[in-house]
Amino acid sequence: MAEEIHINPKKAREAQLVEGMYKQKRMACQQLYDYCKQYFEANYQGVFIIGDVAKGEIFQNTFIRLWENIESKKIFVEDGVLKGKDGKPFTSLLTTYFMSIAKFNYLEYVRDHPHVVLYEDNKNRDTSDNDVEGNDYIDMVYDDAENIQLEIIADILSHMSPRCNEILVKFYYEEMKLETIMDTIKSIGSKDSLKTKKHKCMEYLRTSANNIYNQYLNH
Amino acid sequence: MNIDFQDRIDDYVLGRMSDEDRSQFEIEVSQDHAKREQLELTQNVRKALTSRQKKLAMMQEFEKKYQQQQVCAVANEVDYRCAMPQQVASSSKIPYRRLWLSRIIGIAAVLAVGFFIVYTFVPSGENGITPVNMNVENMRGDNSLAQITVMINNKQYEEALRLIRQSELENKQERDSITSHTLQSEELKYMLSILKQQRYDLIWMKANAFIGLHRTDEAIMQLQELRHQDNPYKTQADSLYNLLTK
Repeated sequence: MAEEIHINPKKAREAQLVEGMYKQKRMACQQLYDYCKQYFEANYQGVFIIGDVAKGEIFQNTFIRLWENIESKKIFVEDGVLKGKDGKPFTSLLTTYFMSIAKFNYLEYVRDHPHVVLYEDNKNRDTSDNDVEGNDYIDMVYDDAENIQLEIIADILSHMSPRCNEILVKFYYEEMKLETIMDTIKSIGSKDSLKTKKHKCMEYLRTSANNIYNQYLNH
Repeated sequence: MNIDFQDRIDDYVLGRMSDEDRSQFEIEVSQDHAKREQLELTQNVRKALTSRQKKLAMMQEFEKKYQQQQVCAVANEVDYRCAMPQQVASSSKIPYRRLWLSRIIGIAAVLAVGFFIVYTFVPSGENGITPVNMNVENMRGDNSLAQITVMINNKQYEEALRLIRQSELENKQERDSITSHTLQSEELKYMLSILKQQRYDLIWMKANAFIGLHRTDEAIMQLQELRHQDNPYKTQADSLYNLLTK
């Protein structure tokens, strides 16, 4: 007798969107964005409490991370099935995975902005709701990927100081020379001063990356 | 991290080195673990920044479209502005024409009503005036207007008012959306005139619903608006206003 195949329409749709994003289909990217955004807006309060600005930042960083994970095939589609770590099929929905990244980003945010967040409320949630979906994939946030440093740096960049971010974006992404950057950032007095600031930003990245590596992966 | 060596790394990573210098640099790095680590870090920073900036730019567009869809969902309205851009691109002419046709039929029907409205003022309530009896057969083309007409004729004034308010809100959103366009094409101008016309229909219906509910003061306010503006209900509104304020 033929084996009965159960197809979960929601999972099938998620697989389709992930596949579309991997193939860089713009419409699929937009649809995956809408799908995650809607879910996040409706459910984030079940995982953490946070203000609107922080919420926007967390969603943004979470979606970028999801996108990068799809690009690097950390999560991928095989035979129409969404798969993750060790090529195992997702047992829950993509939104659960998404919320686990969101929760991780939230914890990072709390660490960076302890004065902004209603930490007590969230602390209670974290300890009491051990089965909230944000916890399900927390171990998948960092794994022994081929270029783990790239992943860690991408995360550090997402919550780096605005000044460091500005200098590094202008220098490495927009490929501006130090002299040109000085023209756009008036508060920096000299080329040497800018060079020192840039170096400190890089040093911060290196140290933070090492700390994260030791915290999560140096078993 | 060596700050001076970082300059050379940057030149290498950003392609600002001659071929000869590149080769020499690669040999130097391959023989020094610390320098190799520094290079790898810089390469990863550049890669991560580039990936992030590109995604952020795209996400700005996604967010814009997402917000647009949310507005449409709230208005519970499916028309050409609420469709996905891809859908608009592939069939941009069709929704426009359909919308036009619907509007034209709707307005024609409403204009016709102006001629067929029969004043059946019979003694009733505190001022002895009841709402006008509206001809439903002439209310075709626009479902909400026809529905409101039926409600008023069936004396379901509260329900009619609710639907009128909703239609007024939608009408305003559509008008605002059209007026927000910097370039006003002939098509847009025509649509705007139809929407303005529909607004008068709604005011007229609202006045009659208020009369049905014996909310005379509110009815008078609606009629005053119609009396002082150029619209198809001007004369009827003026007559009704005079009757109510006698």
